[in-house]
Amino acid sequence: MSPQAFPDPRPIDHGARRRDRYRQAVTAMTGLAVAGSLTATGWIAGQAAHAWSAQQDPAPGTTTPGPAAGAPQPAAQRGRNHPRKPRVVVRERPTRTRVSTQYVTAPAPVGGGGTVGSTSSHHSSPPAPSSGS
Amino acid sequence: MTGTHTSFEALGTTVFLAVRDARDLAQANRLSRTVLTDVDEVASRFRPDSDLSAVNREPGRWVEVDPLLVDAVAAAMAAAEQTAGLVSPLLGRPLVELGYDRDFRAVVERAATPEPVTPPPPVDAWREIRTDPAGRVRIPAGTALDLGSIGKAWAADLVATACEQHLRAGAVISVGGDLRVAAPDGDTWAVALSEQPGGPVSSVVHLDRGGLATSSTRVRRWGRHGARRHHLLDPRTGLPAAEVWHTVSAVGATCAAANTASTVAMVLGSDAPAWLRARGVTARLVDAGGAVHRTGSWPTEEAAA
Repeated sequence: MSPQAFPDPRPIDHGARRRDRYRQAVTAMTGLAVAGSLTATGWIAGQAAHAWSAQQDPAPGTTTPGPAAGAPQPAAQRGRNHPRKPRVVVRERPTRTRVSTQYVTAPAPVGGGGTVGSTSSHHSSPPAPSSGS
Repeated sequence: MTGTHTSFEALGTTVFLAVRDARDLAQANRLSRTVLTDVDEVASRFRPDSDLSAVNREPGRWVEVDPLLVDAVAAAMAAAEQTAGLVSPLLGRPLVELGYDRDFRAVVERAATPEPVTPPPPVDAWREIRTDPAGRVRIPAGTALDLGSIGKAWAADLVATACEQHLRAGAVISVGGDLRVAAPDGDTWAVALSEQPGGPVSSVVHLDRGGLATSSTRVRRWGRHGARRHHLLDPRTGLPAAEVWHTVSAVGATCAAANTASTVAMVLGSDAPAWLRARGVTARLVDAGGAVHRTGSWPTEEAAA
């Protein structure tokens, strides 16, 4: 017969049981606090990394002005210089795409353009104004 | 709506619109108002709810905006590229510090307008602007956008593009004096030149296509410590450009290109004629003494006003 078959003849120690429960509770709370701290630290570090990334890297498909934009660069170097990381984008409110977006005007260099004359080839409406404004 | 022309107020200035075919006027009027309302809502520096104001509140960070503002910023960057930064989109802060911090109709004489306390951004700071065609813009930290140098001209080009898509025949649009011909048909449009909107017409010329823009130091002036200031800043100093020229009118393939030429001429001062000639720009410059200078094929015989 195994010893477990007999009831413990000692009286129940309610103080010791309470102490054990208290220790378990303290252990659980400590564990939760440590896990929470680690999570918060990780989140803050992640946000900082994202913000830094947003300031350093143009988004895919973004325009970069100047001669450097078109300069060829080895793929490996591009990878080093512009690691793909999530970016922080400020969005204060929902935006809507406007009808006018469909009208695209291609930039033109200065120079050229129309012919300015002193005589008219058509009379229909009053002169269009051109002034400083 | 009848006739072949109309005028209305938009972008804080007067808009003139004329069409070849009178049947197009109502449609052209609707198109123009729609486009200019959109431009005002996304690109105004004086509206706190505009997309541009959202970008200016977060310099150094990507800000989600309407793609229309991305197009406007791209046009401003093209102007900066062609002028080595002398037509800059990043003069928002110097303009505010000089007292031009609201729609010009609300700018009043102020005896104690604050002195500029921060230097202007480097002339090449515009190269740090990033745009995403999907609808995001990021400007360098410590800067603010102002599209006043190119905004109305770009808007005139936008309206002209809309008219070309929807009207039966040609049209001409002038947004505060920045003018663009839509759907050129070989005939000319009369253009009245003046220093300021509604002011005396100095001459009338005729334009067959493209854009024509006029820049002037005689408009948008305000008082500062007893001195008169104007809105055309030199990005190298952050202060109003020297008043070598009262008015410069220039033509271009687009109104934005014409405006780029006329604006940089004001900033360049006495170096302007050489700069314009080197790039084949047809222009008319009126100096501080009232003498008229011409480059390119600007006619020497102008119709009297």
